[in-house]
Amino acid sequence: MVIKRNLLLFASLMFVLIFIASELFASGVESIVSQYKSIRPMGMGNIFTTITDNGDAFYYNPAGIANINHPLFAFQPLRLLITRDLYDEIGNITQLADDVGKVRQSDDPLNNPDVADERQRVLNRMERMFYETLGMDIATPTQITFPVNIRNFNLAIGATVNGWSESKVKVLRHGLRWKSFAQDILDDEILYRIIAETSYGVTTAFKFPISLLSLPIELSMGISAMKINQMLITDEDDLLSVSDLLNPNGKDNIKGTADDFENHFFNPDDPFACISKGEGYSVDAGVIVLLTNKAEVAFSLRNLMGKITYDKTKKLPKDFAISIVVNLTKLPHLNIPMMDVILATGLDSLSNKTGVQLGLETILKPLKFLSISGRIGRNQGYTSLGAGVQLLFLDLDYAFYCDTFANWHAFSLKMAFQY
Amino acid sequence: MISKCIMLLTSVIVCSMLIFTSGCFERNDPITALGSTSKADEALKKAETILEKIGITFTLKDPGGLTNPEDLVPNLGNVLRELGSVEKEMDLEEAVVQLNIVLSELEQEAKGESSLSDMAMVHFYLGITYLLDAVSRFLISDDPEETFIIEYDPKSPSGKWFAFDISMRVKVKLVLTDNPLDYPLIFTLKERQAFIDAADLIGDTKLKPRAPNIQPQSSSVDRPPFLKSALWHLEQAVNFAQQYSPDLVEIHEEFNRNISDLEDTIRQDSVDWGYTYILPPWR
Repeated sequence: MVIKRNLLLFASLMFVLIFIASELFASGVESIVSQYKSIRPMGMGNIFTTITDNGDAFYYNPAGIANINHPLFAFQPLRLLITRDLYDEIGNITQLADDVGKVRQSDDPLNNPDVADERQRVLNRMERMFYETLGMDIATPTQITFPVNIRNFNLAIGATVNGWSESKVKVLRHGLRWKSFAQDILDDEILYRIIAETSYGVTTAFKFPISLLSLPIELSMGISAMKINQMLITDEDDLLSVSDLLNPNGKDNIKGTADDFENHFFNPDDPFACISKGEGYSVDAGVIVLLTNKAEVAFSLRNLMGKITYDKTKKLPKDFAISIVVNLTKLPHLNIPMMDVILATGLDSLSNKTGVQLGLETILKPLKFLSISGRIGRNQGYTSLGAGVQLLFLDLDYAFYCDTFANWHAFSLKMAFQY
Repeated sequence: MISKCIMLLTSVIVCSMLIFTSGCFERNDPITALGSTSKADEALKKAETILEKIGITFTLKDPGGLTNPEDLVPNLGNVLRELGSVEKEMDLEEAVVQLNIVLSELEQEAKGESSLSDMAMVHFYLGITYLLDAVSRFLISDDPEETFIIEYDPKSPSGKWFAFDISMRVKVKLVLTDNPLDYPLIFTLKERQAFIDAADLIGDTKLKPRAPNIQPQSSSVDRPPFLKSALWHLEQAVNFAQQYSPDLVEIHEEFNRNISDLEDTIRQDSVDWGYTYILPPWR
């Protein structure tokens, strides 16, 4: 009876935590704050705080590396996220190049009726591209983990190195919706963020059995510290507007003053001269409560401490994630061999949009060295899909992922060697 | 007990999935942007549709087109000639109603986020619509014979885009009238009403006959939706355009000067035709 009451108390507490947190961290402001994302979690709504049984634990929940039982070396030679808009544009780039080429070859590109169709297609394409979300995210994370088992106590120490680059450009519509494209864009703003980062750090976690609320459970706790070096070009603090483009001398129309375009944003002749260089650190921590191998509850705090120093020091935004995961195939009376069905729900404060994350992953293991996964998820109101194949040490994943910024195609090829 | 706990958590997740996974992959970006309201967008759409129906297409092919405001309404000359119908005049009045809604929404409901370019263009649209309404009233009053002649040519050698005159028939009548105070009687009641309204619509100018024996007519547009005048709105457009881009001021002032010239001509002619005028305080 006491245990039942404790269980109810525990479940209620989890819900209260999730929903209080969703209110506290909710904000209507669209943000392009970035977080490292792995492709497998992206397919299931980016919920992975609990399912940290591989190298992704370094980024999602440091406590997860305590679940790694054998030395692990993981390397991703290919990890690419590309917005669907950019993917489509690249797919049709030949047509655009042909049209632009024909228009340019014309003696009178603006008026020649012979290239009217090409001209119209180029204009239509430019109009379409203006309201598309262009973004790309490339990373090559490498992790190494050494676990040490002493009786029921498991200690793991890991190190990670990551090179990461992300480029995002989005036009934020502003004001009235005019029929004419040129009128419509006059008050729009262009948000851009190009970042290149190298980071390296160490993570340690340990796992031990305890009894909590009369329940025999395993508790994992972990902490990681990362050193970060960044190069950044962005207008996040003061958005570039179309009127800025039309006023190269600024609002005062006097050349050589602080509000000139090249002083305020970047010099169009040398755009990379305005790169900001920053360095800093971040400390993440996490806890996982393992209810045997069937279910887990996890909590992680990213940027528990952390800052990046550019011209002035910026504190990294604190961010938390909480989630619950159940492996359905491990439930009593349902013990299905060669298959895992993982169901998860949780909340991640980073996305700045109230909403619960949900994820479902089905893993078929027809052979010992082969597994095939299908994933579906829901992240902050957007649906995601994913698939993966794991063959020996090779892990190939794909996800179609949607977030507040864009819809993404995401691919990765990972090599993981476990001894 | 562990199993019960897991079953409970599973139920929680399944329920959550059922509740929260409704929806599709497509993004639901907000239709109404910051700095606007759905009512303003809707009213603007209606106004643009009405003006297009009349034949007025504001064509800004690229943002650089702002430097040539006369090109914003490229077929204005043709449109002016075709405005002599009551239906078109009613359409113009409805366009003013809708544009007033847009302006009111931007000023009061857009929470201080309305943009300078939107404000400039809505005022510009209103200014042009008032002007066209004035022209429409002149042309409607020409029934059955032509009295007023209004032409638009931004490339005119005189440097004036608008030409305003009266027909030879009316000029002859004026010459044959001995007492200048009787000149207003040369025009029909409808024609007199047209230029009283036009002066009001273009420059907020109030006209009345100098001769006490002629029954004064009051402006029929001294009422909503005609709250201001073409010149007032065009001046506002310049003020906002100046804040948007200082380069635009000189060119927009050139545009306004031409509208002002038209209003000047109408006003001076009305004096010649036996009227006095009162300018509004803002002028």
